[in-house]
Amino acid sequence: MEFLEPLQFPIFGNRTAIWIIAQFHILFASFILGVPLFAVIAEYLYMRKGDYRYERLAKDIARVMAIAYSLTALSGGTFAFLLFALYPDFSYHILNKFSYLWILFYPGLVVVETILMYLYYFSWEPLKERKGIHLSIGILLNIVGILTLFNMDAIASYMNTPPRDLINPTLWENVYNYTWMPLNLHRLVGNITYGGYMVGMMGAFLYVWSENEEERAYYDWMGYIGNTIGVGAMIFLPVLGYIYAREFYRYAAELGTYMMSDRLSMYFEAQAIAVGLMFLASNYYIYLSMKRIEGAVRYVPIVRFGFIVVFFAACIWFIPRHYFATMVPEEWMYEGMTKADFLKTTELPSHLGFLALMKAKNTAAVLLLVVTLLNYIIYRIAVKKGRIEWGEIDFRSQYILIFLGFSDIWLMNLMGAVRTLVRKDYHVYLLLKDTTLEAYTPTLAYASSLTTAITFAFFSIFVFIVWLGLRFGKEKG
Amino acid sequence: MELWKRIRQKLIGLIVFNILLWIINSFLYPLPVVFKVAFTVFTTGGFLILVLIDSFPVENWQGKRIFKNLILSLIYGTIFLGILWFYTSYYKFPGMFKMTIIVYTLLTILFLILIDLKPLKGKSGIRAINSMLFLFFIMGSGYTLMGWALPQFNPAYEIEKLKPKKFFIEEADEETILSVGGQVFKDYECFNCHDIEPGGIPKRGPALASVNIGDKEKIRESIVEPRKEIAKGYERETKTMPDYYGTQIEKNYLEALVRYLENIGKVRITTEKMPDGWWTDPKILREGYEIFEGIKNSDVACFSCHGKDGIPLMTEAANLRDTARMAALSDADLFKTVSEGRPDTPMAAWKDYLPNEEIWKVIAYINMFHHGGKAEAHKKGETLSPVAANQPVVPVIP
Repeated sequence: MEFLEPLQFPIFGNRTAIWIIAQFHILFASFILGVPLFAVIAEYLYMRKGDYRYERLAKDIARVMAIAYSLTALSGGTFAFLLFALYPDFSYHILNKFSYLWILFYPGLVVVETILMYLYYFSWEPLKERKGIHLSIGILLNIVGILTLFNMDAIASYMNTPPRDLINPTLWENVYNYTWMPLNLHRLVGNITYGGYMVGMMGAFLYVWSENEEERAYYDWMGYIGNTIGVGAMIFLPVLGYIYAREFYRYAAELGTYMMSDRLSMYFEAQAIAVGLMFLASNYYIYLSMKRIEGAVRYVPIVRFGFIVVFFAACIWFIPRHYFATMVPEEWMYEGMTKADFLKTTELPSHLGFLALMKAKNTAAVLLLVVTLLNYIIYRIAVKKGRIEWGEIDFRSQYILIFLGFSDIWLMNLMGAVRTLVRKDYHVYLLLKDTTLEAYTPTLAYASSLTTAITFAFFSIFVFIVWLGLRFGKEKG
Repeated sequence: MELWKRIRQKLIGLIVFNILLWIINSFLYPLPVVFKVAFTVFTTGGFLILVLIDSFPVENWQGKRIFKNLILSLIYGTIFLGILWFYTSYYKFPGMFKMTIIVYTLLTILFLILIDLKPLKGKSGIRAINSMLFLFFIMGSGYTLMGWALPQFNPAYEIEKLKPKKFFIEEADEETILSVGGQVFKDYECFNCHDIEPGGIPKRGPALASVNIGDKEKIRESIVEPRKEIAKGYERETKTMPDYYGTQIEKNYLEALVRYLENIGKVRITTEKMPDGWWTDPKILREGYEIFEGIKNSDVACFSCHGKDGIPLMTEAANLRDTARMAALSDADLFKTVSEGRPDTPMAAWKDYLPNEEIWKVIAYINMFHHGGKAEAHKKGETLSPVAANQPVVPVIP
């Protein structure tokens, strides 16, 4: 098979261009998959509890979702065009292996999802007396959304772990590869976390823009709900990430070691630090939320103790096996000293090796989980005993919500890069080689700079969408 | 009585919480029983405090001035840091780790000092925008700086590998030609369809060491025009070997591949038994050590899971000092484990990375871990003294 010469993307180069557009697409796609889950739950709670705030929340989210939808399609189209132009051999390979999925099933799902999404949004008023039907449309929208996610996960996971030792694998064998289901679960729960933090961030922006007490009270509540869902789902992410990584080890241990002990190890170190900070920030938000409850001051000592435990757990969580970014140190790293001396200061000795094992990491994860849950229980107890003064929350809490949203996006970008970089110079591991000179693993410094730039760009667009959807109309009105 | 009432109210919550925790600690985040019990004690303590907490005085939440508790926090902080310094020194934490823990603790103390600042008043208009922009700047630069501050590697090592190498077969010696040929075999993933090891199994194409693949001319023809003559038994295969290798592989490399394939049938290493004298051959042990430690190829670094001194560094990794377990394995068992991996464990099949002779070399080196670090021949069923769980064994290469 002869291919046309790939085009060369100016300034950035092909790899970085694809990196940027793929990240953009996945951020929008996750948004339109994560927040409908949120909207449907909120609408259901309105039906059950009769609290109008839930209905308003669902409606607000749906409005932002409708605007974000067109940007998802736009970024998806650009991503596909660039892929065909910059990596024709890879595009052909995927078309060949996933023909029906790629040509028929995926576009079909997107069309159905689009129809359902607009139907859900525009039928809100006409069906306000028949909420059951409206909710069913929302549930259907989520089912189709999850199917679309699983569909694309098939290709993403196939690239890392294509079926081995199978002669001419079938389409299903290509789909149901080692890491497909773990990736599905990881992304599904990750999307709920992301949806929660995005809603929290929307609440924070709108709180800042609020002009009266009533608005502030509503957006304070919105931020609180977003954070609760975000942190509630995040509790399960470490274990789902662990299951996902374990499948890499089972498929090909060299992929696992490349991630956890070799050139991608410091990417995970950065992730561990950021996750620790996010747990801390979420607990701090609960603490600030308690401050607006009458009589809750009596819980301060126990919450303070909880903070110390969170710090302690986060410290165990991010202790690495060694403080160099390769499996064995490169010569330049220990210039001016012997390798043995270098290792003495940068590698955990055997008697402390347990700190880098799953036993220690699981203990840390459970500590983070227990303290967060305990803090939430304390918050609920405080609510029972005192009255919440919505809108009176410490303004710092809004910065915390924005920090959580930012960190979540940043981490999604960085870990997405890890999932791609783990297969080294292969488009499809051990099946299709990337023969370009860009097929090396970039340093964490480069990846983190690019990740920050992408996060900023997405953030700017997101703020604009929130303003356009929830603020601009009202100002004019 | 009031207290007892409060205990009863929260008791069901405590039991449900602990059952949930026990399930989480058994399935989601598996932990040993001692840890599970510790968590139960921890949560019970938390609930007892919650029961008693209603007796605490209720004050107004006033917030503190930044310096109000600074002195007290500094005194406690300094004492705590002193204890931590002593602890990490006593347990011989390496410098980098010690420094990280201390810096992190300092940040914790700072956080606990700042946590009760007076509530921040709301901002609006240009002040709100400025504060948001400042927040973005702090978050963005903070995460980027973290990325720059953590240890880096030099990408030049990988880039060098990606560059096409100049190679002229007329100028190269036999050893280089075979090595380049082997690399071409790997780079073009011929192993996906062809097993080249003696006793290998046929995949999509014939196992090349088990059939007569002919002389140089014939091998070259099979690569360049694979459909000219289909191997016996593969006539009905719908997807035959691609016919583009003749144009894709540069002629010098193609010739090296031909020479490599011509030689594979001549390798006389079985998968059943360690070649004679290799258990104690210093040269073999040295080479095995280099494979084990990832010096020869960093993609294969056995120590990253099994530990340099045999103490496993990864959950589920085999303990190579386990004398009873290792003595129960024959040469062939050991070979199969390294070559094929072990199902449902992280032990991968390393046959795609290590040719047979390298698998034997690394087994020879591994053998030293359950022989007290000495070079001795392995024999299935041999009697060896057990090694204590935390006793490291560093093999001494003769």
